[in-house]
Amino acid sequence: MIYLLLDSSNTLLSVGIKKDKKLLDKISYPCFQRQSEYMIVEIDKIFKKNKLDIKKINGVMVSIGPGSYTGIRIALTIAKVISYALNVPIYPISTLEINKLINKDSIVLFNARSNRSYIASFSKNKRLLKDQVMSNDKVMKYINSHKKFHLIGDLSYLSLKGETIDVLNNMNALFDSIKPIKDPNKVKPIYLKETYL
Amino acid sequence: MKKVITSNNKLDTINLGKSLGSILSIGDVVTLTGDLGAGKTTLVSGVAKSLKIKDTIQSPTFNILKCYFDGKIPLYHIDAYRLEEVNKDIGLEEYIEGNGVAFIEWPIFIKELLNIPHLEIEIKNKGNDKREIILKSNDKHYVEIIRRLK
Repeated sequence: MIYLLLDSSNTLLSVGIKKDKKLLDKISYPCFQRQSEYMIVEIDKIFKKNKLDIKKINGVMVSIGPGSYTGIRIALTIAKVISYALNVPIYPISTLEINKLINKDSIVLFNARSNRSYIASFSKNKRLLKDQVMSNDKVMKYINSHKKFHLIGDLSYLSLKGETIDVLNNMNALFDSIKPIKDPNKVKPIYLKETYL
Repeated sequence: MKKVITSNNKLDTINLGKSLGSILSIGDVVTLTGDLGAGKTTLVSGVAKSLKIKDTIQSPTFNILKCYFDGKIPLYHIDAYRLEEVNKDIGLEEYIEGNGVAFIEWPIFIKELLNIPHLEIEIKNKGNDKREIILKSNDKHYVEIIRRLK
């Protein structure tokens, strides 16, 4: 069984191929605000390099946010087109979840701007905080009351150091926990922020 | 702080943009107001020159947002004119608080996104090629930038 893994919901562009239980190949590099230019090219390259036919995949796993407004829509749009054209299911997963440390205690954070963060936390494999937007004041309190937790993400906006996670390895590891969705129209990006108007 | 600089022609405006571009850093936000033809885009083209951006700067009125990545740091040029009374939820905050410098025309239409310190520039048409360029900010960082501009 072959699956395509995609993530562009933050600063990285990540494309992977999963074959059965293994992550067969992957590419991942910083590409903030430019993933739309390169993601299709990278998908094409990785399939050619591994001498595989994209038409033979069994599904697409994609992170659906919360994260960059445009970023989450790039990978999801590509996943939906592939799902629709090849009649294969989508495996949608939270962007915060694919950044957690598996089997450890972790707080995952991204900058949501306007002094807010996207946050989720996990203890071992149990979820503590669901994906949400939180003011940075509250975030700092939460971090201070969970001192033993690993902090994940680019936290320079909070003047903190966060760990970086191999999202494609994580997507591969978390694959079995995700329910496939056959109808691409039913998969929606998770934005969480309120609208301005 | 407020400073008024007189520009006698297009070249003066471009040169002011160049000086401004050379002292801006990642995360800086500048709003631009002024009538059609006042020279807002001309000023940004000067900024682009000092950032070593090779692309031609064009008004983003139709596109809303144009990004230039080929310079020393990214330049985001936003024109919010077409966002009057429509859904503004299109992720612009990732550019305003982004990895580069942001110039915003018609800031009045995205006030909600500008609750952060920024530099205000107003360009007034004084007839023929003459322009009055007014720089304003109360934030320490931008006051320093205004001080350094002539």
